[in-house]
Amino acid sequence: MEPSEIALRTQGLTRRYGRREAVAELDVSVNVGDVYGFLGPNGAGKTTALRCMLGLIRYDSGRVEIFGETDPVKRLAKVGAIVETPSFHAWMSGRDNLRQAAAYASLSGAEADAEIQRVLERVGLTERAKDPAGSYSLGMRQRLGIARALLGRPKLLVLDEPTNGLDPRGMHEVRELVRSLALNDRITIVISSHLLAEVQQICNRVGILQDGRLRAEGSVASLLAAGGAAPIVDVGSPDRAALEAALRGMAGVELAGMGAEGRIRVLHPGLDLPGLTAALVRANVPIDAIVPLRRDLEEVFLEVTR
Amino acid sequence: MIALLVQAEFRKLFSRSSARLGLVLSVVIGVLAPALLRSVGGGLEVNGENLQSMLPYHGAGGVAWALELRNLHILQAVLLVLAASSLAGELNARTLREDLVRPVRRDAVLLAKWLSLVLWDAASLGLTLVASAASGAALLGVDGDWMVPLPGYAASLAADAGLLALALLASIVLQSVPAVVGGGLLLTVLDRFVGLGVWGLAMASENLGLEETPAFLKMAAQIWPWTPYAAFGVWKGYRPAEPAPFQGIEGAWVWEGFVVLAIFTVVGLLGAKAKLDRTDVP
Repeated sequence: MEPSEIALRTQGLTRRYGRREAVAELDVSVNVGDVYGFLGPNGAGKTTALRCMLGLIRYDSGRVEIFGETDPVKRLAKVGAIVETPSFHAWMSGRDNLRQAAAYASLSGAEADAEIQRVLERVGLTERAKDPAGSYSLGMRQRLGIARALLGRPKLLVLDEPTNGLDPRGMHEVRELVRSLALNDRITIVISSHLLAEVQQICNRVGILQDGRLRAEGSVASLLAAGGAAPIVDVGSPDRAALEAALRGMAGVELAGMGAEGRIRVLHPGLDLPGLTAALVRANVPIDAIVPLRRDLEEVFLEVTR
Repeated sequence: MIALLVQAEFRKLFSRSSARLGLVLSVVIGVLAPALLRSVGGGLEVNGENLQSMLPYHGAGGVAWALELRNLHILQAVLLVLAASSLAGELNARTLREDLVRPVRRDAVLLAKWLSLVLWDAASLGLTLVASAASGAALLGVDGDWMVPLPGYAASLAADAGLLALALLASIVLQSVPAVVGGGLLLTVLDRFVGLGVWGLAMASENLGLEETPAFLKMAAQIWPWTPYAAFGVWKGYRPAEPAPFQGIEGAWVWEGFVVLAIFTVVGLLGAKAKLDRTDVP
């Protein structure tokens, strides 16, 4: 891959606390246009790694490159970030907090005002912009944090646990916003989370971190396809006994216990799904459901971090 | 870029209630000091002499008294609170982190904070000066040399700038607002006692008229101008030789004090920069 297509790359990134390696020899690569999920159990080193990338904390060795730039200050020129829960000056309004941040993004005057209005509209906070940030709900603070990160039109957005502590509606809103930023604004996004379903919903690539080390990295599709586990289906029939007998007589099929809604869970490593369906039809068993169970990121995660 | 950051930091500083309260206090001191001077002078006699004749009992004197009252650790305490809040406070509240994920150098952030604090101090001094001039003219008349206290105000800004630089260094080292404010006040009070002690010895070496001045008194006389007390008190150089009670008491500009202040400012800012560069921001 050409260097210009890499948004973020770390090589051998290592951060120690005493003798403990919080991040160890981390090689991460995020392509332009990716929505990259940075996964790991609590304490895996995700936030430490992101802080190293953003220059908030020092690292002992390794290299961080963002859009080809390695200088710790210059490499942040195209970056917007939220690290953990965004913090604000509680006594200042949402708009004034953004005005402060605009100065740090080298925006001033009418340009800053226009940009603040744009990001407020983008996250749907225009009506509450005059209220003190201290009066905002957690979800609103998260959205204001994203608005702040969007000031100056960054090409890379780093979001550390952006849905942490939010209620289901707030989580949905933030997820939709992230999805829209990637699709409509074409922003490369790195999102750290331990919510695997969330990552599977919005990310195209993931890196899985454990004990500070990268255990797996790749596209979500390739990670789900990898591992060689047998395909699984839940099969339902009004005549459960006949179904069970038919399945037991089939080659390349294993019964795996009770599935959802009283169906029979079936592993079919030696028979593809059309073959299994045809075999059941040939056996003249009445079938009311064949539900393929896809491997999800949770299984991959548990395998990788076992 | 730095001008934009100073503007942003000043806007933020001014929006703090402690900063606004400090400015109100600056005005109150300006109004009260001439009133205090007027009330002290009213008909009191010392050794058969009217106290009024011993005091700078005029509008310009009121402006001078406002500076004296202001620098009686009152505004220094406010400055310590503001400096500590803007660095240690923001580090703990995680708001400094939000600024540092932008492409700005940490030393630029630090310089912007210091300059905005110095600007606030200049505004505070200006308010005290204007308020005391108005109050002094109304209560004590327009007599007196109005130019006399002005250099004192300018020198006070220099002293405060040094204090602010050291407070920023303490903020990044201690990373606690109460520790910086409490420790800073304790040190300034201690400094006053030590400084007065050394000054007393120095005065003694000049005025005792001994045939041979003891070595420790000579040393005290040499050391005193280089003490932090002399540095933070450089503003007292405006005090005229007349009238009493200031006669003979630090009524001259101590150039060594300005040198020490310059050293404090440079050491404070460079030390804070070095420490901030090495600090992991949570």
